[in-house]
Amino acid sequence: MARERKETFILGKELIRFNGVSLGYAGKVVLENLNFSIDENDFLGIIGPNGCGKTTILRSITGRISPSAGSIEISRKLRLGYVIQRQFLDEIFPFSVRDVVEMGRYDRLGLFGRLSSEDREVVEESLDMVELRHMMNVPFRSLSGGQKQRVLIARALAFQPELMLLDEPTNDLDIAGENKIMDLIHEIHHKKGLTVVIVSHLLHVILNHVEKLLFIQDHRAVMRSIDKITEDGFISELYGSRVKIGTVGGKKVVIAE
Amino acid sequence: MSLIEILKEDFVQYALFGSLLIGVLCSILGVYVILKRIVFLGIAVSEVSALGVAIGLFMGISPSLTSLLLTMLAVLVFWIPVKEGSISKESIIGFTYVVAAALSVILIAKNPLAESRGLDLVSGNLLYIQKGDIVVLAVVTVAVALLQVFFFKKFIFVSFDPETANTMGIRSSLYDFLVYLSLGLSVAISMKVGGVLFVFGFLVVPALFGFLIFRRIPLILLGAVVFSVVSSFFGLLVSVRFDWPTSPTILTFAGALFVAAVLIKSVSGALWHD
Ligand SMILES: Nc1ncnc2c1ncn2[C@@H]1O[C@H](COP(=O)(O)OP(=O)(O)OP(=O)(O)O)[C@@H](O)[C@H]1O
Ligand SMILES: [Mg+2]
Repeated sequence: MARERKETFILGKELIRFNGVSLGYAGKVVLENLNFSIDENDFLGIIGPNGCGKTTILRSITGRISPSAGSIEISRKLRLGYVIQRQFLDEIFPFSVRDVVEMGRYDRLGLFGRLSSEDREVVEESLDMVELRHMMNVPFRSLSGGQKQRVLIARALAFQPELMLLDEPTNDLDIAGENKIMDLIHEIHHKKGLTVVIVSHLLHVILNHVEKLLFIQDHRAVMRSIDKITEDGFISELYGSRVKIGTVGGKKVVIAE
Repeated sequence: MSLIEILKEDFVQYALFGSLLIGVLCSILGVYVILKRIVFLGIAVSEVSALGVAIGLFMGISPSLTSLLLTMLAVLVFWIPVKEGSISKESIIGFTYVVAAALSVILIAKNPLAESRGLDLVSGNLLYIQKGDIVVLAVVTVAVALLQVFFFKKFIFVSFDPETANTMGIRSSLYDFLVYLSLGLSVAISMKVGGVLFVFGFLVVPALFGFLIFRRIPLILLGAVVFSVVSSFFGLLVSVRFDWPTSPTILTFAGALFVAAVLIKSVSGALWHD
């Protein structure tokens, strides 16, 4: 079977399709036989415990790692806005907030690395979107976790992507911070019409925002649309019979007995 | 001898050009070495380069050529990302350093030619620099500086966050390779003239000064370059005037200058806050 990540002219409203994909590192299999697709205008959550391979899936989409079996088809020239897991970044670099957001424009730099006035405009709009324009000259490393996260989101927005990939954007944030980030992502999806894939290990954080969920458990993945996850004891089967999803004030909540 | 008289000597002028060029080269790359946290790689590459010189002399072929080849090979090997789970890159670098250092000592000890010329791979022989060396140094300096002028932002982005850069349309491995290539070239070319100590010192100290004083990377680069120029110039004068070994004198001067900067900064910082 083909083992590759290929760019095609497919796929109608599909942007990315996984066909029997296995992923891993140096002989170690992390995920097996993934079959799902990401459609235009999807708001997809990828959920699973620490170390199950969520980041690995994103890396296979960006092309950093290739499948050890199966194939990933990806719509040609799809612009991916990648919001990397914040903890992966090294604070030794003395960037200002603006420096970081400008990186989203580096693929179209002019001679001698100059930014055009359009680039600068897009950078400022992106900073507006995450409400950090007033802090653009502040050192990036001096920000709080939530602010850093918003800067990274602004950087991805400045790239003017069609698909946003966000890796654990609410990690290490308090509840207010979580909500702020999730509202921002919600807005990016609904107002800007971007396709969004968000990775999290906490179901309750993304439950009320995403429209589809990809559950990862024991090297496998199952896709469900959000209004079907309460049916036929799906969640209880996945997490054990003590976990349920209920509704409080019109919102879904995760109940662990 | 007065300062002017010293500066009129041909060999002093050559040595000055040489050390200025090495200073500029190494201080630019030193900023990357610190940002990428590969300081140890810097010293290992210098040592491999010294081994290259030793091999060339031992085999009676051009030491510049053997040094260049071996250094580029080492840089290439260190540039390739190692798969997790095997031996860490850091330990491979450490291993390389030790073996290169040991081997070059043996090769020099068993080479009558090197001994009679008093060749010293550790502290170099800046005062014996040839016109040809200066030309090569100048060419490499211009090439490295041009790469910086054109691609500085991309180099920094791929050093900071290669994964995102790659996703957002920038060929991370290509730009990263260009940085490693610059590093290898600079170290190999500088090593033959300045010696391991000089090269490694100038990879670290000027960049540290830049980081101490400035907050933005372009200014840090500029600060490092200016620092290296100043310490080369005055260090060389002191070394000729008092007949001290050149590279160690320049480095000691640089070290003293850096310590002075630290002291001034902390004293003025303390005064400022009170
Ligand atoms: N570069 C790598 N080399 C080898 N193994 C790796 C590498 N990166 C991740 N792994 C392993 O692959 C598995 C999946 O890692 P991954 O980072 O995708 O998990 P994750 O679901 O994103 O975890 P987290 O919630 O902690 O972010 C883990 O067992 C991890 O140890
Ligand atoms: Mg992860």
